[in-house]
Amino acid sequence: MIYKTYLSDSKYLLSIPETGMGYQIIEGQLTGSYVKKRYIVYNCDLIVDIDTDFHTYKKQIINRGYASILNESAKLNLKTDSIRLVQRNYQNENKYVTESIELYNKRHSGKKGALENPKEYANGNEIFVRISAYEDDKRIDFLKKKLINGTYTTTHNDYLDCINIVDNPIDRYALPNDENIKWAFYIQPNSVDILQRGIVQPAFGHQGGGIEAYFENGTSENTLITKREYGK
Amino acid sequence: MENKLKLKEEQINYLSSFPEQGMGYQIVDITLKNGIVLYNRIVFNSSYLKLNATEKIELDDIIQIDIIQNDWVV
Repeated sequence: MIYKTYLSDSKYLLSIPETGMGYQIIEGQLTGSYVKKRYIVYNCDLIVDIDTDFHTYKKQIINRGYASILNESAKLNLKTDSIRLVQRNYQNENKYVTESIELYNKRHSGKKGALENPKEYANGNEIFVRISAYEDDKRIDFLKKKLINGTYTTTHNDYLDCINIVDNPIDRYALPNDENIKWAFYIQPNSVDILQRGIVQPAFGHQGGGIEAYFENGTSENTLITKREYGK
Repeated sequence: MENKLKLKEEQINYLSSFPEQGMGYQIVDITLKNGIVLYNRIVFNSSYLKLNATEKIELDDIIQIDIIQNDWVV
């Protein structure tokens, strides 16, 4: 969404540095919320959500004009004392790379990350794999044998590609850790389980290009089918 | 070996209740009791806070952990 600032927020934003020429990247909490969100603020008075529709918002501003959009936008009710400037992080700047070519060693580039793609039902047969450095992976409910909400995996096919060509999983899945991946948890979601799949975007100095599958609501009970050592 | 700090069980449980930003990690802001905020820090497995190589932080220094809901896309 696109919003405009309250005058008090605008004054505060004027008192803090820009992130780049003409804009600031901030985070803040909405009144009544405890969760921080990030926004881009143009000229200290137009606020744009940083989410999967960000480029659509930008196009709206370009096509319809800054003044027109500002005039029509509702005010964003941020807690002024929660507003903080966010430093630029060059590691993840390539999130929206648009080219779509398949690279060597069966990686993919461009396209979209899982969160930017539509939701789909699992077919009940497909297997997904979550790789981890930790045997007690916290995203897995070992009692109910399921993924908990908001968990990423890759597909079994992409995992096999990674293993068979002896690819580096840290780079393929753009993971921020230097620890060895030791475990592979196999998940077979039920047909009622919902996922989003996409291409791992470059991050943390890694290329990405593996397949990622995101389970916003986790998976059904008894969908964890096995745990194996990585690559075995 | 990375320099990392294992969080308290209550903090682990808190982070486990939020989505990941990628396979096996979350991005958080850490507020220390001296008022310093460490932005965009990585927590592995909802349990291990990744520290800079020479950084020394005690568990008791941490007074707040804020999960970053939407990931960094600019």
